[in-house]
Amino acid sequence: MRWTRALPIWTIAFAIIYVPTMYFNLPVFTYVPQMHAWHWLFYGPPKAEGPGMFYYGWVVTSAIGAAIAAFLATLLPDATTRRIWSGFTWLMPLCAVCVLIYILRPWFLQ
Amino acid sequence: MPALLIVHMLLAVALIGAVTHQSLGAIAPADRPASFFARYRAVKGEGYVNAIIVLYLVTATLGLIIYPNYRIGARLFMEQLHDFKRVGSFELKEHLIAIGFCMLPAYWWAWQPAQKDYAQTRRALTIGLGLIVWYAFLIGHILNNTQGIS
Repeated sequence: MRWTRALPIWTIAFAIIYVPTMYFNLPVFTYVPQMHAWHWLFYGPPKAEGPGMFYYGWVVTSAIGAAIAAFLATLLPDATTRRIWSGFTWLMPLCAVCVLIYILRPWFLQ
Repeated sequence: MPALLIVHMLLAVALIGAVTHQSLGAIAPADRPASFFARYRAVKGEGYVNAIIVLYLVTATLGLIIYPNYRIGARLFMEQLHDFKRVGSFELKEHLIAIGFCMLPAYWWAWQPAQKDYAQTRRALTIGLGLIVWYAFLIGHILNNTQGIS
């Protein structure tokens, strides 16, 4: 399989992985801006250290997961990956956005 | 930090211009530039792809550098004001930027000459990216007006 065929797979996989990564809070690392400190995986800082930032970690978790999925896809025969509908590259991100809006709705209902 | 914020905004303006040109060109391509609007749409979308990807990545990276200031500054200020809708709007913005980031490889792939058969996918990815960029720009601008980063 040509490596370019792995690109749409990466997009699809990232969109699928990102939502549970964010929802279940599974960052590769946590940044605590007030302390300028980085911690591996999830770190719940004590109140004195200020808020923790998980967003960077979520993106990296999803990127690594998507890279693994894309790599595994390159091992499949060309005919198999060609059968994957190209529309999933926009449909999966769209579905992810809809779920994210649902998850975030408490912010807008307060 | 204000200088970074201004550069971030200027790059976002360039990105919004490029992605809007390309989106309109993809939705309603114009062969003959008979009017201003037709000229706006009569662009070769292929020529915008790399520029849009680079602008997106650089703008997002600058946003990531500025983000901690927002997290321990403007956001806490808005939470104290119980302005949760604005906080939620920014939460959505950060997730949309991540989703836009994940769309970039497929977007690049869909605009390659070898993928001429995937016009609908190409159009949908371009429009999706355009909507994300517009949302992020407007929300960033509105929130900066609430309390600028200093």
